[in-house]
Amino acid sequence: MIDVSAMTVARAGAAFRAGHFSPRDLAETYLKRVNELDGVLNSYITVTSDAAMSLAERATEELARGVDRGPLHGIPVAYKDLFDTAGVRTTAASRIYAHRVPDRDADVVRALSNAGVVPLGKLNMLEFAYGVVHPDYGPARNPWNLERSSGGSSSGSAVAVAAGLCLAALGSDTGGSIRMPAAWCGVVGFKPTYDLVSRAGVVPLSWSLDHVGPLTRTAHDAALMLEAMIPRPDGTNARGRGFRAAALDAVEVPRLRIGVPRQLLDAGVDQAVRRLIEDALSDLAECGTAIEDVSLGDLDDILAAELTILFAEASAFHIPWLRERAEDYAQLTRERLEAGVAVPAVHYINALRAREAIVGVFREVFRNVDLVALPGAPTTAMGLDEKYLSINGDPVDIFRGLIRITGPFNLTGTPAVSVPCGCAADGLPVGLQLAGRWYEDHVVLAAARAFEERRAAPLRLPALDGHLRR
Amino acid sequence: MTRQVLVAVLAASGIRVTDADIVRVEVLVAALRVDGERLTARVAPDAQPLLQIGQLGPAEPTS
Repeated sequence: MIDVSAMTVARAGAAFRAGHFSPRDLAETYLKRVNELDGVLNSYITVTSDAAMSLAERATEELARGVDRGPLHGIPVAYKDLFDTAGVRTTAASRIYAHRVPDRDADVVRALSNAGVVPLGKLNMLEFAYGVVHPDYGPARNPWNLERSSGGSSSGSAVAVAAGLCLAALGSDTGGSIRMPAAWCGVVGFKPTYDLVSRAGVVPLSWSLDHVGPLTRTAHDAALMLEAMIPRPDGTNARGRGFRAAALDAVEVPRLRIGVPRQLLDAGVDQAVRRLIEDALSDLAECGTAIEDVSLGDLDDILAAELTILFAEASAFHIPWLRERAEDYAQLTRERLEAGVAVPAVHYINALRAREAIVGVFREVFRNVDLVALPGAPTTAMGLDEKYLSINGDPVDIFRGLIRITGPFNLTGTPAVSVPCGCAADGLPVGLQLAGRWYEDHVVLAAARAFEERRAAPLRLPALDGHLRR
Repeated sequence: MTRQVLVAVLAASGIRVTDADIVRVEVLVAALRVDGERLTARVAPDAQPLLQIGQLGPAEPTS
């Protein structure tokens, strides 16, 4: 078996082409790890071993005869279980969709297939990405401490990448659902600019806040994934916007200016996390970047607009099942959906009016700085059974406490990454969040990569040997 | 929002709820109502709704 403790997409691709091992060998290794470890981690809902080995064989044979589809060719990946996959059950971790088998792939799944990836299966998540574990599926456990939450809603995606059960995963992010689990599980989670990646064939939570993005072990791997996720042959999306991983190399990171919203960092973030973010900002300053304070405007307005839009749009999508199968939802999912039905149209429209003003504030912010820095989550991973976040000893509503940190970049559609920046005293990972201007995804990822290089922290896997099923 | 109104809104949407459901949902609705009222009071009179997020557009590049 191959040692995958320090494996990345880039390293695997280089090893394929140097003949050190093949896509078939790598798929076997990862499937063995899934078989041994996922009984306890619960990161997969469906494992597609036979299809994966068939595609791995094909990638091996293609590379051997010089057919090279690029950096993702032969790479073992997995998809959050709300990406439609033709012929493979797509549950959204719900009872409502428990037996749903799409007849076509989501656009982004098709794009990755064309890039030659080897999908290992479909990943656990919070029910319909709405913040709640459905009892039929159970939680994906945090591999750094099995009694802690892995966050969500892309919980299985973060766990599988962190634990070495795939090399890269797809997630979706409506209020922080890629970045927050990435922060809690110690991996890179990237939410691209709104609309850069197609959402066709992705089960929606809130159309105007949903983003599709990758979870990986490095920022460079996230860039490789993102380039392959944009399906058109010329590398652009339907709006003519594109992304090239090579663009990261042209970014002069020491010339960047980073803004820190102190009002949010000081009040909405636990001290243990804040300390590591301050250390990370010091390291970025030593790279030559300028660090300065910024204001994102009224944070209560941002949260209010995000939640009003989210609740109303989610209920609009779910209303047919809410009428006919309300008892099939997890209790809190149902309650959120029922509450969303009661959001007056007046409030929804006014939230959209407020959104326009908030976008204006962000345009001003990004005239003065290139990036905004915050944590990927305000605390380290909470206990599996805890009902509230604990921020500096105060109990805070989980949904609001998390979305306050990450949601501003969903409301404005700006690109944002969470990159690991160390572990707190409880041994759990913390993520540094960097957000940038619309369509400057390459700047965000270049800064994250420069931070990784500055830290030079070796990649490692959580110690799970005691849980191996042999 | 009074309980009567909440029940009426849900019933008009075809959603059957018990008294216990209503008690739990009321808390969430109350929080959302506070959000909505606050936003409504603060939106500038001439503000337009952002109906298509594609209108976001890029800020002028400076890097």
